[in-house]
Amino acid sequence: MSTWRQHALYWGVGLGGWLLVAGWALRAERTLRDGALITGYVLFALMLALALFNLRKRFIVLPLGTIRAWMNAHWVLGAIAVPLYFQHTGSLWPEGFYERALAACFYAVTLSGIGGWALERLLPRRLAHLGLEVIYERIPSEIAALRSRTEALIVKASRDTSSDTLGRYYAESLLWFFWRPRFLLSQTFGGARSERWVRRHSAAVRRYLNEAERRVLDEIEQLALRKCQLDAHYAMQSVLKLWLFVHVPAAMLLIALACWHLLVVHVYAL
Amino acid sequence: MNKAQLLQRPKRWDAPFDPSMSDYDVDALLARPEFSSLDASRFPAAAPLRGILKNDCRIVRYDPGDIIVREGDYGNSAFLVLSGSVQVVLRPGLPQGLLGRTVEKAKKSAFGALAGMLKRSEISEVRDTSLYAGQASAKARGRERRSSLLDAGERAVLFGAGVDPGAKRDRIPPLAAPFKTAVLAPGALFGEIAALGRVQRTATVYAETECRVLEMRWQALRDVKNRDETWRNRIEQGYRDNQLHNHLVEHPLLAGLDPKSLQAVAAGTLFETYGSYEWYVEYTSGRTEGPEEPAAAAQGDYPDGLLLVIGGFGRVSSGLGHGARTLTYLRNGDHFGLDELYEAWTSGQDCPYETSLTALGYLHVLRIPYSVVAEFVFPRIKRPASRLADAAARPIADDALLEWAVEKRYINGSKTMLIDLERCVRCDDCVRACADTHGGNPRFLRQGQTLGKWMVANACMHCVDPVCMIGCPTGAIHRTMEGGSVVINDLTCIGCGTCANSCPYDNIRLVPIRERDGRQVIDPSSREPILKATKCDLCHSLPTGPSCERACPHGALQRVDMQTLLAKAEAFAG
Repeated sequence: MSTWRQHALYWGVGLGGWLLVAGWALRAERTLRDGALITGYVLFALMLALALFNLRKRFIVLPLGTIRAWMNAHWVLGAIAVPLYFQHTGSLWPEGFYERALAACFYAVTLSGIGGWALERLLPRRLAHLGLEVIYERIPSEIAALRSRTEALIVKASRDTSSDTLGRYYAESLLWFFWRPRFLLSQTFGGARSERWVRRHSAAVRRYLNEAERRVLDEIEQLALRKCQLDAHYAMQSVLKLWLFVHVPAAMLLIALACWHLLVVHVYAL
Repeated sequence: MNKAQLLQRPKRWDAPFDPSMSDYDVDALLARPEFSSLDASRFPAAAPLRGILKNDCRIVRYDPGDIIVREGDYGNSAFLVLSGSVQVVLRPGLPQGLLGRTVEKAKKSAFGALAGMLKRSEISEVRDTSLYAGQASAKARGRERRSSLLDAGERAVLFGAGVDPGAKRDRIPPLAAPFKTAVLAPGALFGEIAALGRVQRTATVYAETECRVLEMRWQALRDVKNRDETWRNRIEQGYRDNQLHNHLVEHPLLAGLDPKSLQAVAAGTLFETYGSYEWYVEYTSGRTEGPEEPAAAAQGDYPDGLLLVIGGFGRVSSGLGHGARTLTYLRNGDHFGLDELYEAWTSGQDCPYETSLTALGYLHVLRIPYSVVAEFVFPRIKRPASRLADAAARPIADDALLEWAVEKRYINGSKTMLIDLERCVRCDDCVRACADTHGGNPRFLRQGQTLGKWMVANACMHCVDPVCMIGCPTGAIHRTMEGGSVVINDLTCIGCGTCANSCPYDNIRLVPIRERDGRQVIDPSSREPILKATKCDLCHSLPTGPSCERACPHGALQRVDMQTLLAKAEAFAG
């Protein structure tokens, strides 16, 4: 099945299911029954189904469809959960501490999910266009290697030219830059602060160098620009991982609170 | 710190093909005409003839009806009939369903796979070393599955209604129409082309009577062939007699030719090989410049025959500026020169080649002379709808993916791991899934060569021409019987690194193994770690297929045949 057909099928089934549940709940309200009970139970079932996605990923060998199919279903079910939630609560911000905590968790899960969805579409393209591919866990060692190469160049240049200008430049500016990933916010949003910083500092020191030192500075600048690419990878790959640290724990908390909510409703409200 | 586990460093014949092969068996084989003429002094001391017969061969007894080889299977051994008779099923072969293929049964169940996953160890590359000691005896017990025509569900289809093939008899009844068979008597050799050419078996062979067959590992066949002219000629003649006919009859241009015409075509056909069979050695050593490519046909020359590609790869190129531009590449089943020859046939004038065909590594072609093509082929076909040279009309910028795939030899891959970097969120779920299905040890690296948004990851590509299988002293690396994935038998791998060194793509890794308690396994004499070759096995034992591909939440990772991808890319660009 093509990707578009799969999407159409999932969205068709999802929207159909939502209309069915919404209609069922409205009809229940009209007949003086509690429609919130229907939407609440369906919403709870949706939450469990959405949380199953994480579990499914851990048991890849089971013949339960591809993770991509589950991912598509996750998006559709997640999207349907939003209108269902508003139908269930009837407000944007409910009354009472417990209900507000529940709502806050729901919003955190929903917003982080939407944010993650957008990030997963934007950042991979930018990473691909960097022209460099590196595994996240290897970035620190790659940076350390660049730092070592830079230091070796500077030591050699200092010996060859009997000048410590480059050494001073390194100690005052470059060491900070090469120490760890820098300008992460700018890198995440596609800014060029990092490259500008490198070029500005290079230009500042260049006027004090002779021809041999300038050639070394050019090499160092290339290494620094490569470091910028590594920083960009670090920044964007971190964001691609970190949003899940909001989404998944919030989802777990939401399910836990929803369980208690369900219990309380059954004990006191019915 | 734990003490190291000691294990004698494995050698070529530590795991003989059949440990029950005795000196008496070897003497009996050496007395046969096929082997008595061999000059034992031409074999090196490290691999003497007796050693080859004893360790790389086995004598197998088959009952009437037992299937010895099945059409479509990949096999690493050839067979010599010692006694009794066997039947080879001629084209068209037996239906797949009647061949006793048991794909599902061979794979793990979902629960089996899950249990295997849950057993994963926190320690990397853990092995049960007791299995290495016991594997020879396990082989001797004969764990290999053997199927019989008598097991077929629809025996009436095979033998005709009213025939009871199961009745006690010394000879299995002949197959009913439309099946045709030919008998192979004692002394006949079969399966040698598939074993040496690393291609699929082209016919099913079964025992007609109770028979004894000498099964030779391809390493044995290679050693004997390389040291004896009679065997070499016999194998080459066998190719002309059997394989050539199959290649011709299978080719779409020759489909439907009557047997007489086909015979005439075969008689006029020349078999040509360009380039080096061991292309990977040159390729690996000359990566930056690229090896020289011998031309099977040069642009501007006048064609004298139609070229049918039957093995290896060929680059179709045309001159552009000061270089040659790759228009496409050809592989088994493709042809070259048809456009020009057809033009010459219709116009009555000579038409030079519009493009060149050069060997990418090695290239096996059949050259059918123009006179034969003009007599038997052209009257039956229409003018080709498109010409190879038409590809030159596309924008040069569209060549990048093709040129890259050809230059890096990714065209060899049948299941290349291709990652769309614009979709990949670098979550490493693919690596995790791979590790989960391989005892906690991922069998690929999510890194590799990139071109634009495409990355070919360092994962076994299950090549059309699996050069890693060349030179394996024990046959541990082999194609699976079903599916043809290239896999490594950990029990017989001696960690020599031949496969890893041969792989031009660096997709095989040698790993030091450990006991379950974390102790490293080392060789007592050299005190060096025992290594095992590991690589992607395409999760061939799982019912669900490659876990990496299934685990990708964004569909960024695909296992693709490069030709399919390039065709899609071309269609998209067009």
